[in-house]
Amino acid sequence: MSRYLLHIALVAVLSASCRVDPEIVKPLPALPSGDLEQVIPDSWPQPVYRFEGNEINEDKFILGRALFYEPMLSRDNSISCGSCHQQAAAFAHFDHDFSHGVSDKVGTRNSPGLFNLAWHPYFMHDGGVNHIEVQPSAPIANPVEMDEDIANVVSKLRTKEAYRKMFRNAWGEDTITTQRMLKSIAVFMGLMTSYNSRYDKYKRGEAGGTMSDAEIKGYASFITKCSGCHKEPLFTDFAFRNNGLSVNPLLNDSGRIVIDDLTSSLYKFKTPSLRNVDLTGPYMHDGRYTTLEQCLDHYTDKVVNMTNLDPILYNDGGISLTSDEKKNIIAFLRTLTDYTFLNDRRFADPNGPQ
Amino acid sequence: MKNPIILTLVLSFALFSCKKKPEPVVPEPVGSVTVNMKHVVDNMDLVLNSSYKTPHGDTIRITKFIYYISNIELVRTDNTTHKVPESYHLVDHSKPATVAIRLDQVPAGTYSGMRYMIGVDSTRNVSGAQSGDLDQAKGMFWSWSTGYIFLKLEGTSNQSGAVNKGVTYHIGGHKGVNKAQRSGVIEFGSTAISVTDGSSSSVNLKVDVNEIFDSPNTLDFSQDYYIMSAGANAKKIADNYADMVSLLEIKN
Repeated sequence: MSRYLLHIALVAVLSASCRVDPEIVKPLPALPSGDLEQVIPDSWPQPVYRFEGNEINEDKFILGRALFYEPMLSRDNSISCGSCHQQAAAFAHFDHDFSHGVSDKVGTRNSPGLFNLAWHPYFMHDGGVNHIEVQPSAPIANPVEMDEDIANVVSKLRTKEAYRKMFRNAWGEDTITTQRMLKSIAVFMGLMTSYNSRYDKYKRGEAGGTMSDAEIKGYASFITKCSGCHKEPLFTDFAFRNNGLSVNPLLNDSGRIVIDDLTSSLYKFKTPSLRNVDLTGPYMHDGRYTTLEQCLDHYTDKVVNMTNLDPILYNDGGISLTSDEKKNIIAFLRTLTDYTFLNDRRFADPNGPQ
Repeated sequence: MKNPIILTLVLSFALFSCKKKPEPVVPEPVGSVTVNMKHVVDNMDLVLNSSYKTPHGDTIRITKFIYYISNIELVRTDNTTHKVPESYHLVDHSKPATVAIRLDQVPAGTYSGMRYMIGVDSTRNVSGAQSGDLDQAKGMFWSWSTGYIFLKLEGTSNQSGAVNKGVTYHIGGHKGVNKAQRSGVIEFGSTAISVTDGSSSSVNLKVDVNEIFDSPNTLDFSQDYYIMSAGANAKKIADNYADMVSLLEIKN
């Protein structure tokens, strides 16, 4: 009898130790209550993307996150979205003017930070992509980024049981389609909302929302000198503008004109948000400036008067700022860093270092 | 002990008998209509990798011919229409199954014509990730400047100005001045389609590739050999393909 029990115990121990955890993706860290809902902060405009026809659920979010960090999206399985959009850099590419895609190919535009994307009416520096759901297909197809056929991405995912399971959880069946893949990524990206910087807390009168004298002065200067384009609360008005950057003859990036074919769009690029700007450098569409000081110096001293130069800059031959004003503005810009967002484990690579 | 059971039985019987009998669902009589796209160049059948003469006098060996026909509506004799739901059909000459577009669940009636669009309506170009024939994986989508490619025509020509002698048309454009969708109407004439319950009829259409090369804009491959984005050149071709479809015959 006792031998029989021992036998059962042995089998139990063996079978437990032989079990392989089928979960590749680690479970979500504990979510603050009410999370995975779209947050629309008070005083913000309504978002463009309301997840219509793409209801948010946790499994879609987990799947979207797995796809965001999935190198199979690239031709040689080497590059994921997260390669050039790193959380520590507010999902820009830390210390890279241009990012490198498959086979070390180098792009021609700086990887922007990713946050508050649900408010974006269009995507990319030239606004060529018109919907958050179809945005990932641009870097997937771009020969200097992922250089992959989206149909092949779907085929690769279909070979993985872990993905079939995640698609089943998220969509009710395990058929992997382009549409479900893209909509899942949209759930993940669409929920990346950055609204808890010190500036936000200051505006809301919350604990931790203190600003120094320099920062308050900088805010005042920012309102007069910068907010014409970098409009609160998103710190962009999403307009396409030529901000007087000299044309780099090696790149000769003509900007928005490539998309709309209008001569009035030559050398225009989308106004970027300045939220988290302290971390999203290098700056400008071609990453030519590495510091915020250089950016402000551009607006005071280096604006090139050329066709389509934005009227705001044209009228004054740039922006006039004293060196004190510049220091204060930069101090203010640093209050736009949202550490809650940067450290939000929900957006981190589930297979990366914890 | 027995009484409650009997009571329950009686009550439930009463309840059931009070319930209104559901109206018997009489299915609407429906039939099917198959729209067959017959591809020709002038009056010769299109055979991929064969050579044809264009109205401009150029010779082209056609290697690819793919296009969207969408928003099909069947027009009744009283001018009301049956709009085919989710009507987006990618026709690829190299895939025979795509050349016959089967429309199911067509309500019984007499139809005297059909409306269609070459291309994909603007709405579906701005509404995010789509499925079915609008799946981006079908290869008819510009990812860098969102929008569907409505028509792809590729081939080679000795008259081509391209180094590789290619002729490559990827035509699209869904908004503003660049719109390249073209709508058309086919009148069935004296032979209307009569759809009855369980019937299957056919509309055989002719699609003349030579129309893409001519009228109103005669294309010259030494100049017009590479059109791969929305804009003035794409519109020129859209104006040409606007009338590439015509009626061959109706089969009831």
